[in-house]
Amino acid sequence: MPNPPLLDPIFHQTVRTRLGSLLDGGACSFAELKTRLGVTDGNLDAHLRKLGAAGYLHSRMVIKDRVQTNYSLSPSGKRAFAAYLSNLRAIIRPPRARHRFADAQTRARAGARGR
Amino acid sequence: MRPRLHVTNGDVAASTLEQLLPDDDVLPWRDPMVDGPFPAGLDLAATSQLRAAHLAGPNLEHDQVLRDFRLRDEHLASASRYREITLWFEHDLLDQLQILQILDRLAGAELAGTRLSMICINSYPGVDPFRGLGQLDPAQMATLLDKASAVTARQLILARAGWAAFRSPDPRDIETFLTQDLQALPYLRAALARHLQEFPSTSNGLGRTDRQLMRLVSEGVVRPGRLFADNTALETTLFLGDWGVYRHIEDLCNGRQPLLSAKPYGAFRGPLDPALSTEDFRKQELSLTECGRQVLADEADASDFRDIDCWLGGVHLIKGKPIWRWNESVGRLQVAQR
Repeated sequence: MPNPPLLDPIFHQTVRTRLGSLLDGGACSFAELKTRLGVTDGNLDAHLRKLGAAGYLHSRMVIKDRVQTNYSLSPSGKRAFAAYLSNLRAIIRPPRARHRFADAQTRARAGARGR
Repeated sequence: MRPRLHVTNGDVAASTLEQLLPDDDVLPWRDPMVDGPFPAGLDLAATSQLRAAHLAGPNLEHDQVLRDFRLRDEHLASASRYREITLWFEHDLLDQLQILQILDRLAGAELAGTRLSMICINSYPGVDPFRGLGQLDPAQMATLLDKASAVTARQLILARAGWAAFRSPDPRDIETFLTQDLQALPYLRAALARHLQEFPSTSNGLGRTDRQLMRLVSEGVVRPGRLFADNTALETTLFLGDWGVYRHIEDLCNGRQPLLSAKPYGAFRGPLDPALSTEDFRKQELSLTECGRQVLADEADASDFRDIDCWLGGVHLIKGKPIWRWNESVGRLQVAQR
């Protein structure tokens, strides 16, 4: 059976997984994110900074009635989030499916050796 | 493969780069650095805190400004995760200062596996007047890609020295810096020379922007939008954006004895004033006060009517400290008694 894939620790945290999901869908303001995630200013700030420090965040300043910043995932953030979800799916796949996956891999490796 | 990062001067150019290079990360270096404090001795985090306090106002929430500075600084701190970082800038003072700040920061970072390159232009064929990268569309930006050149050790050394000079409390450090060979950063000399002209003049205590604005008003340019456009036309390269110009107008309308007055509200009200429609903002009319007339005619000094308290880079011009003045006739700074 193959080793389970590593999960990106930036996204592997409940608030940041949800944050990644929201930002993957499009740009959101700080106030919008706070409401939708139900977290405090300080909490959201800390999680955004984790994403920012990994280069996963893009921001855009927009002027409505006042100046506001909208956040979204950067291209590398989008790729990292997609990889995170894919790895998570591989881990939570039902055991039988996982074994079938492992069997298929074993057969593929054996086939490659045979050639 | 490790990603690429593009750092540029603001949201418009950043948005164009995102369209042009959708697989790459883009970081706008969002700070109107021509305006406000940059004291020596502070690291990037502490500088950002001070900048946020300076820039925040009724329409720009302090926490948001500080948050965006922190996110920006932390993004740059992750520079080593990129295989290449490209700086996209132009020739004006704002961009030259951004280059200095970013290269100063990157010069001290561990970037062994990261290629650092720069695109910096002062013109673009068919774009006249060329004010900046924000004027270019994605196809035009694409033609600049092969103009990216690797950042050299000489550029890093100059950037660190230039950044230290700009932040020095003694502006003569800038004059000394300008005596060096600056060919490696070819637009820096003109940009910093323009910065020195913002110091209060020896003839009437007005910096160049204030003098230009007051002269335009005296010539009948009284609406804020037109003042911004005509003031921009007086500059060889873009010096201040519209908000920066409106901030100067606001200051000229304030003080013990204002040099300008604004109709119909007395004080000048900025474009983001929530109680003011765009139309009402545009309709405001500026005029010289009697004090303003005397100052513009060199019959009085601006400090006779208002107490100076402003920052130019690392220099805090405030009563009780040496007030550095720009002597236009000799093109040098000197200390004034008031």
